[in-house]
Amino acid sequence: MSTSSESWGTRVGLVLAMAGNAVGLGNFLRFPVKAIENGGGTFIIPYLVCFLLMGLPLLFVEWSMGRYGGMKGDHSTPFIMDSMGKKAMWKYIGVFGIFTNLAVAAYYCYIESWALAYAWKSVTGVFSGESATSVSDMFGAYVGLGDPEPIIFWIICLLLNTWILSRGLSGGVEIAAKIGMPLLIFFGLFLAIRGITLSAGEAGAINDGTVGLNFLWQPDFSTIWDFNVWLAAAGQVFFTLSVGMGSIQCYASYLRSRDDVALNAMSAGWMNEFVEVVLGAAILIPISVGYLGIEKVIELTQTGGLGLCFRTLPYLFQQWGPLLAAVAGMAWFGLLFFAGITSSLAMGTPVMGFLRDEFNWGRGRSAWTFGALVLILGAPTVIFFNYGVFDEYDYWAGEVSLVIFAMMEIILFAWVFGMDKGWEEINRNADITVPGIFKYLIKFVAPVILIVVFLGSLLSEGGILDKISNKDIHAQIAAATDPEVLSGLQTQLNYVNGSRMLLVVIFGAIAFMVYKAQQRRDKAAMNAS
Amino acid sequence: MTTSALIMMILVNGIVIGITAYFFLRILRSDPGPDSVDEDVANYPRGG
Repeated sequence: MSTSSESWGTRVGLVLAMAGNAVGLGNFLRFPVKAIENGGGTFIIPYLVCFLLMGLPLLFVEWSMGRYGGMKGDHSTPFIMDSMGKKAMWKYIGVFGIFTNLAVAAYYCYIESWALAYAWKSVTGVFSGESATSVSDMFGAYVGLGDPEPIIFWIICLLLNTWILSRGLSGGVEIAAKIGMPLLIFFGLFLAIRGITLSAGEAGAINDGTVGLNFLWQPDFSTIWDFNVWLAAAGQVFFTLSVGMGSIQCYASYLRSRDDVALNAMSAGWMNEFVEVVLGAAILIPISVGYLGIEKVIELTQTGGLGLCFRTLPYLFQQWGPLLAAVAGMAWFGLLFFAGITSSLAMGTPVMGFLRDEFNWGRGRSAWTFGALVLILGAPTVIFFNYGVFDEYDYWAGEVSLVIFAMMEIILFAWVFGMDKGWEEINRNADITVPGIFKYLIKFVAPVILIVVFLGSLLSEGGILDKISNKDIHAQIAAATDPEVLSGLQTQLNYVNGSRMLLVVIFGAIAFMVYKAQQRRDKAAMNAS
Repeated sequence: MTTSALIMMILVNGIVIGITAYFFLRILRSDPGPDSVDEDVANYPRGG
């Protein structure tokens, strides 16, 4: 446990940092793609229902867990959960709250560095005069590590993250959020207005920007009762809010006892929704459909939003002339960079909190250790990107771990810690009256949704069980006849299995450190008595 | 845009903007700034 006096400087800074934690690349790249895949405008209905029934309850739970743990001197989930659960198993479940942050930061900082590099390339006119194919190929060459540029930008990103973290919450993270979030919203508004006002025939556009908006918002009520649409909506709400990571608990653990959590959680949660629903829906799709048409955009979004973002948009911006292309490129990749860095900073704090609380490390030492770990663990995702290592990290740490951890933490909060005590925690010094229905949502509805989401992830086609058995790669191997392709798939299989083993080793190492930390606590308690 | 898409977009955007602005304004109006850590220590002894 810690006697650290680290705390937030201002309430606005805290809310912006929490919102920055939630706002990430997925707000701009994942949300519009999911909406298109699941009924366009109709998707928003299950999405908002899931936000109210599962997202907000989880936010209340995580904020109040964090403040509760912080009052006892705990700033990371293993010992926050230990103090609530009173059984040893909870602190080992809390390992997810450190593991996820470390493993996700390992690959997330790399995407962040792409955004930084592409903002720089846009400003310096690298895409100017290039063809669509050439701009698209540039991204393939970039992630293929054709030259040292990606490594340089990645190192810059890591150094920047580490330096900000080493300056602490109020002197580093909070300042970054106060600069990053307003700039992100400003850039987002600029691009959204440009996207919406795009006219057919203007600068090579084949459609009005409103065609893309229509495509995105046109309700298709035939999908409203489709279970998979609800599953996708719950998944999107879940990932966009950064719940199930342990970073919200860590940020909230630096609140003071008399601080509110209810209004703060509401404000940060809705700010994320504003960025996702209002800005996220008004940029990527309207601009892409304006230039490429609906069919082509559907084809490009089959593999997610990253390709559209890095392979296509830099070329489309060039149609606006050199000056506006540079400004738009800087705004688009700049907003992605700010969305990324405000999230990766939040991933650093639980790791630092654990090291500081349990091993009495200083802020600088903890921050630089986190940076070094991200460098070491992220290296395979950078070097072996084309072998699927990046995707493995993303799937196991960025998706599966989140669902498992969120499911366990809400069970702990509502059923082990006790809903009456939990409700008291949520409402203690609250600046708003939390409607009583949330008590039942937290106790019954949210856990059921999370269990359904987990079972859906486990059993669905291409889900956890299929992933574990490498069904997809084995099917490709079975179908391959070319020895070269066969050898490539076998190599990919080895890298995929290797990266999973590495993730298991990381989890085990953190669990071992938690065990050692408990031993230190026991020893300290014995010496004190 | 079709009328149904326009209604859906305006309705959802209006709700989200309105609620976000409402809660953030409440935060801005109530920002108390940093207060004493000592009070916390007194109420919730570390390690308790």
